[in-house]
Amino acid sequence: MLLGKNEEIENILRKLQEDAPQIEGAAVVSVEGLPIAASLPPEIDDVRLAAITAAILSLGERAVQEFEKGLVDEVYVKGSGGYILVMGAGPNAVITVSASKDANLGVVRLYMKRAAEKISELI
Amino acid sequence: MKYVKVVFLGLPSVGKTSIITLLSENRVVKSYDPTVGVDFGSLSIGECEVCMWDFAGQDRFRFLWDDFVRGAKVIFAVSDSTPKNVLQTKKIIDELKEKTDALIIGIANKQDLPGAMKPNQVESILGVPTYGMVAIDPRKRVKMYSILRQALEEAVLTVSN
Ligand SMILES: Nc1nc2c(ncn2[C@@H]2O[C@H](COP(=O)(O)OP(=O)(O)OP(=O)(O)O)[C@@H](O)[C@H]2O)c(=O)[nH]1
Ligand SMILES: [Mg+2]
Repeated sequence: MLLGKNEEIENILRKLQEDAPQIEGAAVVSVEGLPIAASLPPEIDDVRLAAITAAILSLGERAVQEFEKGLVDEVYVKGSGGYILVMGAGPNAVITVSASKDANLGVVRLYMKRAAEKISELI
Repeated sequence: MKYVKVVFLGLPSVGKTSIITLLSENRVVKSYDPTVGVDFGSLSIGECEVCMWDFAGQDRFRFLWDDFVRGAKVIFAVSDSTPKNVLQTKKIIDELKEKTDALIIGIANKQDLPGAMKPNQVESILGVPTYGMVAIDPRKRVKMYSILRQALEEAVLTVSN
């Protein structure tokens, strides 16, 4: 049976969390800020998160332009309890993950980038 | 259409954050704390999950509006119902109409203040359907909710995906 696009993306997100267990939550959203697929702890409001994620990347783009640093690759936020990473996944989608405080960011980034590439082929 | 993007924009201190807080948290905003960049609220209406984008009205944030308005199905242009503010809001709406095919609705907020223009007067200037509002009155939440629900129904019918 063929999987729907959203299901395929959900599988990619699940795989991402298997490969990098330090990733606690992951979501893919449209550049307009609407949810597409997510694998998140239940207490998280996926609708608000989608909007926040798209806005973060948009502001990251602006910041990179202002500082004349080329194009945005990712936006990285460090909280006292862990990390948030946001990356474009092709021209129409954005991926975000949250990772634990002790996460190896190199590993997280690597798997995230692979997931973003796969997703950009689907959307 | 499960997820819907709704935008609230307008000049500083007109009550955008107050309206969204009333809708999503059922709480009244008493003091003016300007929005920085953008903020968000969410609300379920029937089958719809509505994400409300709360734009910052201060001048220095206005350049963000074009980016953030993308994909919105409904835009609320909020005014404080003073003549000067309504005229400035009209200009904002005219510029907006060239950039989006979202449904634009006017909100004539602060109807409790003396000298507030009546919603129908505001509507005739703005040139879009306009409703009166008092965002610091918790009893008005029901009204704002039904304005939003009606706008969603209309947007789903008239705006293509
Ligand atoms: N009298 C009266 N005051 C209101 C009403 N609605 C909001 N206010 C007050 O007006 C101020 C508006 O604040 P916000 O809602 O934060 O304004 P905003 O439009 O989000 O402003 P920016 O974020 O700067 O763009 C607050 O002090 C509110 O208490 C209303 O209907 N009547
Ligand atoms: Mg505000």
